[in-house]
Amino acid sequence: MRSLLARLRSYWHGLRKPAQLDADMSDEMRFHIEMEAQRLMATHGLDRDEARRRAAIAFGGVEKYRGAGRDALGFTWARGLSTDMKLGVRMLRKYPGLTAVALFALSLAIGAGAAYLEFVNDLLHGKLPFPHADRIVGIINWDQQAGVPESRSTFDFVAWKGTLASLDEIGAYRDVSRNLVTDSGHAELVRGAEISASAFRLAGVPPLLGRPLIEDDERAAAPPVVVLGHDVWVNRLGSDPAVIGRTVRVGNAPHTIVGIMPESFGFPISHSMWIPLKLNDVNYPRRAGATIRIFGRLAPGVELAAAQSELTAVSLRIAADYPDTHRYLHPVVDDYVTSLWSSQQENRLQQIVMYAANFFFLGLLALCGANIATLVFARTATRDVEISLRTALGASRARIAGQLFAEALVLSAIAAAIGLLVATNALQWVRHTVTVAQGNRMMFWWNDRLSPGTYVYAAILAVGAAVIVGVIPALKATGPKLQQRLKHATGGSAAGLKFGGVWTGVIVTQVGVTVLFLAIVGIMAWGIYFGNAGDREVNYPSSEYVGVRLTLDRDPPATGADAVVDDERFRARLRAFQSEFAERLAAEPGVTAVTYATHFPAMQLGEVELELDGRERPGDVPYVQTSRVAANFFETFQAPIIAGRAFSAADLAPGQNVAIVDQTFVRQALGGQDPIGRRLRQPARNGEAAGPWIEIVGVVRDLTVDINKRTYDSVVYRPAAAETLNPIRIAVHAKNNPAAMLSRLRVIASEVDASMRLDMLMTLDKVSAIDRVALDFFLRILAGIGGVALVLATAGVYALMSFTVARRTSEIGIRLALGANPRRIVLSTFGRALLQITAGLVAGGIPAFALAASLAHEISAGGGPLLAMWVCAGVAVFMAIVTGLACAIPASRALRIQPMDTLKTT
Amino acid sequence: MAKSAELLPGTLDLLILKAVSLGELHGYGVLLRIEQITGGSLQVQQGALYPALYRLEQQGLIESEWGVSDNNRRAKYYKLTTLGRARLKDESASWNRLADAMAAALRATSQEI
Repeated sequence: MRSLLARLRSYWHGLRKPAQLDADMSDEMRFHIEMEAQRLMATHGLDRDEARRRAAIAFGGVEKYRGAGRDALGFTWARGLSTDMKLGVRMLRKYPGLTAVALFALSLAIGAGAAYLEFVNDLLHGKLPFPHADRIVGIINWDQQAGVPESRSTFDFVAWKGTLASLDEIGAYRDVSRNLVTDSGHAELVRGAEISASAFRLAGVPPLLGRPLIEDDERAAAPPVVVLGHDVWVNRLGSDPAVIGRTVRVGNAPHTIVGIMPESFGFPISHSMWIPLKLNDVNYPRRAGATIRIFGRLAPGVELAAAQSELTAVSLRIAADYPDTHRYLHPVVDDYVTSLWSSQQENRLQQIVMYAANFFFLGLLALCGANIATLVFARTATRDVEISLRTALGASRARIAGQLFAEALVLSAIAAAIGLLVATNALQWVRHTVTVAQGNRMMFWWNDRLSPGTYVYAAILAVGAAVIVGVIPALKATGPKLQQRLKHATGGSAAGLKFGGVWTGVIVTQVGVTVLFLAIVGIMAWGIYFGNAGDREVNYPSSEYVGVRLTLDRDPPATGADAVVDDERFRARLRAFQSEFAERLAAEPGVTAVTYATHFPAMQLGEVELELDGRERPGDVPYVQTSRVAANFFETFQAPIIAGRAFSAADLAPGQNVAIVDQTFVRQALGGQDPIGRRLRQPARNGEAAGPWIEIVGVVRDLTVDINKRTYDSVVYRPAAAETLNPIRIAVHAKNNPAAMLSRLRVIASEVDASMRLDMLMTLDKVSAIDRVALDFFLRILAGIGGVALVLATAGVYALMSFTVARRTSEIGIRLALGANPRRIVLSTFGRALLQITAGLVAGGIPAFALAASLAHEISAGGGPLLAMWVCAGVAVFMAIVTGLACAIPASRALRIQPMDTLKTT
Repeated sequence: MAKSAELLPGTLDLLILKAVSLGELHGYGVLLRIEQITGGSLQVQQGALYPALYRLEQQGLIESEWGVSDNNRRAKYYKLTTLGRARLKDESASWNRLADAMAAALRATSQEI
């Protein structure tokens, strides 16, 4: 052990101050020689110079022993390494093309891997930005019999609150997204929570202004107060510092603002508004009532396991008291962020899958590394003579491999640094995309900083990449055939390094993979930018229509209230709002029609199974789309009824089982038979009785256009009274100024009832824009991978060609000198490369076409094999041109070879 | 001057350990001490002493410290570590066994066989 320590210390000194140690060694040896000289002067009576001369001879070569001393101290390798590093940097500068390609590919691969790990870690095991984040826990009350969490846990929460000693804080919340209405009358939806005041204590984050919620606010009689998030304060309240004490309406109820939380606070997930959770009753019904989520903080020094045992003990006592409801309930306490994900068994599997997806990035890195290894090998080949001579002079294989490894390490270290920068940006981009797609802010603990673990991971990836990039070519270059190559290097006739079959395979694969990726990118890009992928073409002027989704929040019924009465009251409120809203909209100038439905045309509608009356095989039920619509829906969307009748106001009454189907339904589900009078119903399933028969009374022209419509694209429309729909979508045909209507809609809604929640407000030509965000996201990722593949393939071909020209310089020179036709020389030299490129194009082209053809009609309206063929042909021509250019530069170099020069050097 | 013998390979380390075990020494002092304790009968390549010293230090058998010599010069002093002392004991014993065996072998006469 001590000897190991001594060795490590010595290595450390060697690494830190090799120059100092060298100087010490010289000092020591000089001292020795001088002492010996003095002795010789004293004992042999020599003069000073002669004594020194003899002493130096007796000592032997100072340089030699100093070298041996360095070896003995074991820091030769350290000096070697730093020399190798310097050489590595020099190599990077000497071959800028290779450096650029390698940095591009490696940084992207390392960056993507690091970003992904960070993403998954933040998502599944994110750390809350709180002082005692590691002590904050979530509690899920599992129903072990059903295997699902029981979130109607107010009874349990109240029971635990007083008893659990292992938690020093316990609280609960439930989501309440409500319109926040400011003095200006402007109403906008805010994600909020009714939450225990203890949340603010356990977070330990002081408010920016005012105070957080306190215990006193939870009293039933306490005045209503609200704490708002930073984003609401900035965006809605103009960052007013005097906002405390002002009144805003949360839904319909006025609340006094008592505090503003800082930007970093969004507990429990991504909330921006907090109102007190008033759970004051002692007796809540068991497994009934409001759904809540429970969180807490471990008391100092208490482990998770201890808290779990206490919780289990308490729950067993409750189960003994109330076996009817609680026999199978088993609460589980877990780390807060983990608890959010562990609510379902499948999520565990999902987590494993999410982490396992890292292998994809490892594969990408290995692929990039192998490609760059090809290039490095080609470059190493040009240093064949250097390597052979060094080996002949006694450098070990390990030493040479070490040098190439150090060069690769310099490369991959720089790539890792760039990759981490890329990763940071990628994460911001992912966050942005998710925020846009969800219309919500990300989980509040998400941050753009990379965690230390991610840095370590990137470093490991960098070393791994360096091993692939540096060591493999080095071992090949210093292989057993070195002797022969030495002969070649010194003018002998044996062949030099070869680009063997493996590299050929690599290049063919590269070209093939590139074709595949570019074809997919091509077809997707075509679909998104030219073919309106995700869009369905509609049969009405969708840009003239404005749509919105309205939701009226229903407060939980007061304890003991009559459910039927409460239901009727809610309906009345909904009806009142809807009719007034529709009337005011219709009165707006420029509005020609107002209608409502559960879905607008071209939306992904609800998919249902339907059983058709009189169908030969009763079990054969088609899946179709369904939507519930207003009586004037078709008229508003300019869709004529082509058979039967339209809906009338009478059809809206309950018990009117009628439906209108579209042309696609007639064609696909009925095979063109007359649908009028046919009946359909929801089939019996899982012991549930079949629904009532519904009669088809009319056929409407298709609202969307698509030549490849299948049965599941057909639509069955059913009439519905507005008050039965919550949420409801309202469409306004504002022919002349739809843009102005967008803002008017919001104003009118808040004037009618500010607690009505509005979202998805847009002109109807934007209906499919949300799908496009996701498509665009994937397109960019695929385009990135395709770009890397293209660069690597091109660089690989270029390296192969340069290598060939370098190898055959003298042959080409002689043939040129003998008057050979340059074209034949080019063909004979590059024949193999052209063959490889062609093989790659074919190998990638066939699956690319198959894939593109299957994607084409999914992704792009009117797309088909023809489009796929065009895209694949385009990609193939593009690849041929790019790789052809990669060949052209070495080819022109080959033709510029001066016969005289080569003859001289041969 | 007595005729000096060539040093057997591997014995320099042992000699250095022995020399240093008798007291703290600088490199030149080690040379003098070896000459002294061998009666000048073993020829040590003076320069070879230093790689051997570094190697022993590297192995943790001796340790060094910069100090000032008798004539007021900066010099590096070596002394034995506990590990070195143990090693010296082992090596001495094994050397003695070897030497005895060699001596016995070389003394052998035809009658003894």
